[in-house]
Amino acid sequence: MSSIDVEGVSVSFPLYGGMARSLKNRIMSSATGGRVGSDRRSRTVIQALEDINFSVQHGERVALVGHNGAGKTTLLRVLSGIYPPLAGRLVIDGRVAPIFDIGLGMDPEATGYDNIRIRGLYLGLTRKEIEAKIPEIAEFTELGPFLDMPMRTYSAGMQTRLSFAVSTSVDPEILLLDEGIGAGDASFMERARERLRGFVERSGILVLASHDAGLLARLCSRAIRLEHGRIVDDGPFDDVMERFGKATERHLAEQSRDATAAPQSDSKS
Amino acid sequence: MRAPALAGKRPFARRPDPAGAFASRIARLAPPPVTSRSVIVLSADEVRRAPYALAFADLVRGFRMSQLWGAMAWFEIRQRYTRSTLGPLWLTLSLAMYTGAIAVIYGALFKTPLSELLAYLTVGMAIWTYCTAILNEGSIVFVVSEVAIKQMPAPLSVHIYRHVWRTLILLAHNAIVPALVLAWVHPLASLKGVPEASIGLLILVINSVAVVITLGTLGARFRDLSLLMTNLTSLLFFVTPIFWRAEQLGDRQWIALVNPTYHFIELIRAPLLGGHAALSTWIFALVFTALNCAVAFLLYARFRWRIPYWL
Repeated sequence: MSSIDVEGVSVSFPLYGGMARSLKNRIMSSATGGRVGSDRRSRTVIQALEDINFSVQHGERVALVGHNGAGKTTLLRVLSGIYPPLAGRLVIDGRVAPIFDIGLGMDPEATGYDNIRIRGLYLGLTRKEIEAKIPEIAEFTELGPFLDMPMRTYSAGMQTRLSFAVSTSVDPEILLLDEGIGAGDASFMERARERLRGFVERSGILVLASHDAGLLARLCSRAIRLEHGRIVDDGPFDDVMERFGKATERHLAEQSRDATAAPQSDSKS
Repeated sequence: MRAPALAGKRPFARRPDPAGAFASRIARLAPPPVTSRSVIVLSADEVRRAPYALAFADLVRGFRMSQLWGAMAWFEIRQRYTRSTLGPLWLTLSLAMYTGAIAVIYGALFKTPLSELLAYLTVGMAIWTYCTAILNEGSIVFVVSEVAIKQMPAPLSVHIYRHVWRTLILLAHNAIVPALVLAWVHPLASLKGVPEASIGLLILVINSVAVVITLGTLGARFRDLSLLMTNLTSLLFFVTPIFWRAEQLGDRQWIALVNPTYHFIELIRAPLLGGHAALSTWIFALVFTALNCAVAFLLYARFRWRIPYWL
C-alpha cells in the first residue's frame, strides 16, 4: 500500500549573481512563474512552492496542471526527494522512480548503455541486475545502434524513451513523470501508455505533470492545479480541468481588455 | 505567513534521542535506494533538529553505493580518453618525461646522483598530481553533476566519492612511473616501506574526502572558488618540496613545515625511499586530519540540504 503525504511544504530558491532589484519589480505579479520577493537578508528569493498540502493514496493517478513555472516540476522534485522541503513535512511510502528529463540523460557524454547503467544504479539496482535487464530495456527503447552513442546526440524523444524504459523496468510503486514524456512519438507513446496502464492496474501511484490535456485525460483520475506555487484546485480530473479552462478563458479576456486599455495607463505612470 | 499546521501532530518530541535510537533514526531519515521498500520522511523540522545525524547518514549511505560511484568514476575516465590508444597512460607517459627531464637538469645543477633524485622526484610528482586534481576539481564536484542531481534522488556524498575514486584510479596509472624507478633504484628498501606508505596513503585519502566535501559545498554556492583553487594550487606547487628538499630552505624551512601537502607527501614518500617520515610530520598530519574532517562535517551538516537549491 503506497501513499504520499505532503503537509505544509514550502520551497524557495535564492537567486544569486548580482540581480539588482528595482522597486518596480519588487512585487512582481504575472501569469507565469513563482512569486519573486526578498528574504530577511534582502536576497532575491523565488517562492516556488508555498504551503502545499495533499495526500495521494495507492491506485490514484494524479495530474499536475498549471501554467509554465507554476511549480509542477519543483513539486515533482520535492516528491522524489531531490529538493528537501524548507518548511513542512513529506512522507513517502513506496518505491519511487522519477522520470525527469532536463536534457541529455544522467551523463551527456556517456553512451546510451552507460546511461542505462548509471540510471539503474541510481534506482538501487546492482550491476548484475542491470546487466540482466539491459536486453529488455534496450528492446523497449527501440534505439538499437544509438545506444552505443553519447547521450548528447539524442533527440528529446530518444532521451524520453531511454529514461522511461529504465525507470519503469525497476517495478516502482510510485512513478513521478514530468512533461518530457510528451516528446515521444506516436508509436512510443502507445507502448508507454500500455506500460503505464499495467502499472496503474497494479495500483501504483502515478503523478504526472503535463500540458497535454489529452494525455492527462487518458491516464489520470484526479488533478491538482498549481498557480504561483500554491494549490488552487484539487479534485476529480474532469471538474478541475473544466474550472482550469474557464480560469484561462477569463484570464485571456482580462488580458485583451488590458491590452486595449494599455495606452491610457501607460501615459499615467 | 501560513499557520503552523503541524504544531499539533508533530510526531517527534523535541528532546535528545537516547543513543540506541540514533541508528534507527538514520535508517529512517536518509533516502535509501528506491528499490528497497521503506518509508521516506523528509521534514524541514527534522533537518533543523538533527543536521549531524542526517549528514552522517548521507555520508554512510553514499559510501554504500560504491557500485554507483565506482561506475561513474570509470565512465568519466573512459570518456575523457575515448578513441585514444594509450588512454590514461598518457598521463603516465607525461609524468615520466617530465620527471626524467627535470632529473637530468637538477642532477647537473645540484650534483646529485641521478637515480636517487629520480626516485625522490617521481614519487613526489605522482602524489602531487593526485593532490592538484583533488583540489582543483573538488570545488566543482556538485556543479558538474547538476544534471544527475536534479534528475535522481541519491545521497549527495556519492559525487564526493566519485571524484576521490576517479582521482585514485588516475594515481594508480601514474604510480607505474615511481614503481619502475624504485624497482630499479632500491627495490628491497622500497618494498619494506610499502606498509608504512599505505597508512600514509590512507590518511591522504581520508583528507581528500574531507577537503572535497568542504570545497564542493562551498564551490556549489560560490562559483569563484574553482578559479581561486586553480591559482592557489599553482602557488602551492612552488612552495611544496617536490623538486627540492625541505632542508635546502635553510632558515626558511618553516615554509615547508606549515604546508599540509608537504607532510602528506612525506608520509608516503619517505618510507618508499627507505626512510621514515619524521614524528613531527605524523603529528601534524593527524592533527590536520582531525581538523579537516571536523570542518568538512560541520559544513556539510549545515549546508548539505541547500546544495540542490544552489545548482
